[in-house]
Amino acid sequence: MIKGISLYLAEKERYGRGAKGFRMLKNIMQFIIPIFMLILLEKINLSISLDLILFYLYINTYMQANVLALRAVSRKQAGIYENLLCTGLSFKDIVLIESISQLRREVFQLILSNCSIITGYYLINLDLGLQSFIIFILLANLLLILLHFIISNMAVIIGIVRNNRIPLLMLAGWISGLVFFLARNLLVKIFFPLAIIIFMLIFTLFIMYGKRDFEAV
Amino acid sequence: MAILMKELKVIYRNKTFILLKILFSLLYCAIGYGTKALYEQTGYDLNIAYYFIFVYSMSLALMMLYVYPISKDITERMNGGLENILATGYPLKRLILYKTLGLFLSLYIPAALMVIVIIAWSRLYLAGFLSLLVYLPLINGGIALNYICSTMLSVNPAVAMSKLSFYAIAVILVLTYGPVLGYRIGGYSIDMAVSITLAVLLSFAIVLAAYRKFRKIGIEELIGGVVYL
Repeated sequence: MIKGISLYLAEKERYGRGAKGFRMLKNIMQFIIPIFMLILLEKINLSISLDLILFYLYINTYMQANVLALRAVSRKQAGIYENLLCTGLSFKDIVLIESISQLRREVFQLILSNCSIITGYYLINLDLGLQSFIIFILLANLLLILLHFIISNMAVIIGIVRNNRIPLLMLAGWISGLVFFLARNLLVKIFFPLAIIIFMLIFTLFIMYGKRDFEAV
Repeated sequence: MAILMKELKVIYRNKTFILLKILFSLLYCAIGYGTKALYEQTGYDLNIAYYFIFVYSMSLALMMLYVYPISKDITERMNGGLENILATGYPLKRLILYKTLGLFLSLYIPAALMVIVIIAWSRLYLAGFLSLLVYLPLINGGIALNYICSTMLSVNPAVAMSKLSFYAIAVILVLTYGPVLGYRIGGYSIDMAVSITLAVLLSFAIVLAAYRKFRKIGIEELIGGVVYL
């Protein structure tokens, strides 16, 4: 049922506004522009580092989550979550519904731009075989989707439970992203953002499974 | 005046906002001081100081939009707080202006601090005070008015905010990497006249866009915005 409601919400919002042709054009541009930009920058001797690309993808995930948190505030104020609780759904289900629908809404564009950036970088810099390249792309997309899902859950919970703390989510994203981008030590570079994400996961699970439904909403 | 006090109380009672505002203010002061190192590295080129005073201070004001607690506006919009105030006979335009003033103070102070730090080391008093008294208030006021009107008019304030955030990030990226790219490609560094022209054009465009939105907003448009998803 959770999956059904999530997909329904995502489809309703996706197809509710904007012409289909325009959306297709947007998706095509999402794929073409990053490759084009990367190759163009390489031609003018301004190659972009892999760190900068990963930093962009990381921060972008937080931005999407920020919008989701604000969407959750709107829905909470409209009383939609109380209505859902009355149907027998729990707080945990509501969080999952919101984050899965957000993922469904964004997943296609996320994968397109992710593949485009990695392909562009591969064409100009990396020296990989085709098989390794495909594994690299699959792994990168999987990680991005997982990251998006964890941060989305956190965003929905903050949006519902303590909406005045939403800017903290963005701050956590920027700080961990900047540490990842600027740190010289490889251990700090990897473990600081990872620690933030694990903290988010634990916090999310604690609220989702620890709080009683009506308390949380 | 009561509305302005209410806005300021709501904003400054939010501890997260106060914490983030202090952090961002310190960061902007550090950027202002860091400009001095850039100035020395580029062979004492004062154009760098002009660029940061006139153009770059705008991008920092835009960054503050992320820190501003927009959820309070969404809450007020959704639970009919605006309609309640308007039902007392309070004029809509004055309500918007006081709300704008509340947001303006949040955006203006950190950017102004950065400009003050730059004035302190560069001693560009005329440019600095021109920026502090004319150009920064125009830009920040325009952004604040545009933001308040967009949130009020939108059927979904979260989406309106995401659009504004997208433009903010795009402008920040262009203002940050534009001069670097220009220098790397054509060997051109932005001089004082270009900085001032850019500042005048940008402030004019932002104020015009905000004024058009302000003219457009009315009670009927506000009621039309109650339908949301």
